[in-house]
Amino acid sequence: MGESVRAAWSAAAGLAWSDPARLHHPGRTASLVLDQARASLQASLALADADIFFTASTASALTAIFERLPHRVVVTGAVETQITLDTAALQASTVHVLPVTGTGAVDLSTLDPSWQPQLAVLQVANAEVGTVQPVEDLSRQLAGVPMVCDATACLGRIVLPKSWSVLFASARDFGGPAGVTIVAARKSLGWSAPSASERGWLGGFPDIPAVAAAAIAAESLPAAWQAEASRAHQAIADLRQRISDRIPDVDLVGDPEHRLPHVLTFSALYCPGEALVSELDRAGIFVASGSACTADTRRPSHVLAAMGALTGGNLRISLPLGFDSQDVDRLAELLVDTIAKVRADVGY
Amino acid sequence: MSATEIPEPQVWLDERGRPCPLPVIAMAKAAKSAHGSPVIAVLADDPGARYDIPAWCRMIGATYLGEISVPDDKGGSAYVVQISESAQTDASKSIG
Repeated sequence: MGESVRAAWSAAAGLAWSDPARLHHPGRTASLVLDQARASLQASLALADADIFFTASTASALTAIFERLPHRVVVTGAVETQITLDTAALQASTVHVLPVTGTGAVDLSTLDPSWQPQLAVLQVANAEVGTVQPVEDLSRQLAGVPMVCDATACLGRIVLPKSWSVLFASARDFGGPAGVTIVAARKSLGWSAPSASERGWLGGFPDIPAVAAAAIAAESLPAAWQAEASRAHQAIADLRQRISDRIPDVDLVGDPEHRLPHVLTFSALYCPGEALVSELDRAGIFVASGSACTADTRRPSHVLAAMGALTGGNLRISLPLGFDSQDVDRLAELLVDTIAKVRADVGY
Repeated sequence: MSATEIPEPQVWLDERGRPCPLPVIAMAKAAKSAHGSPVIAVLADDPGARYDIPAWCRMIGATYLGEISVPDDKGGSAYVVQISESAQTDASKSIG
């Protein structure tokens, strides 16, 4: 998080500490800060046609969304986040999970009209491997079915599809606090009830100072974010090419073109993912991994498994907004050396 | 392919108790030293092996035949692979 975002958080913590439902002065101040932050986020994220709500996590957002939409029969994809799959399994009577192709995009040819779903839940893009999902195509095929879109890792990175009914994402994706999940519901759903006591929030009132910080983070997104996105897209394309040219036995995962601009995921044969993450961490580069040995569950990523990708020796690299291209060059060299070293260490 | 159609493995590798990528490395080394186009079974209990043995086959040009029952009572799973001539060349190149 940037300095301006932390400063906004701290200032709002001093100002908006009260319960925004109270009618006394501190309560009205908190309510005002919340309303301003909401309006600011709505403008910055171009969500004019939606009511904006906040929750503390993806899990609470999903629970609140399922509570408000019919969900007896749900269609979703095999590479949604575990929390989406778990929520659907818990709340719906029937969940149809669409399989994915080798790139990680849901395979719409498996959709069966006889399912008669009441709700569809699909990510805008897979945050783990970057592949963009066919949201508009699914929406066309399921005309009239409300579509919930998980926009994790997408805000300020790609142009959003239009055919969602409800969209959610974490403010962390654009440099805000991790404890703010933004839920946008189309005005046509009529979720906002200005006269009710739960005016403008889902499941209790939100952490207003964190929401104020999220608003500043969204305001700080570069006006020319699409130019930044194409710079990232090119840098990742170059990195993919360099890895493919210089590192043998690597499985480059995800769609090489239709993807999040800033994400690169690959798996290297004959490498423990844990060792790769530790070696890169020592060099000051912080990467994620979907390998079993790096997960607290000791299970490999269900996303990689569903795609048929190699799960061992997996790394997910994400370029921050405003990345330095020299750092990407340094990373490319470091990956060549690190993978060779880790392979030697493991006796390969 | 059902288990009944999978040919009897000529080589057995016991990699149970060893985490990924060790079962995959054992498979690659066995492929490198093999003659002809042998059927190799690897016994493994690492949860990644279920995905990574088939992924290795795809990457290296071997054929993943499927899972068969484990021949003893020590647990784990048995994954069966058919090595081809081209896969041997690929494995040798990368093992160096």
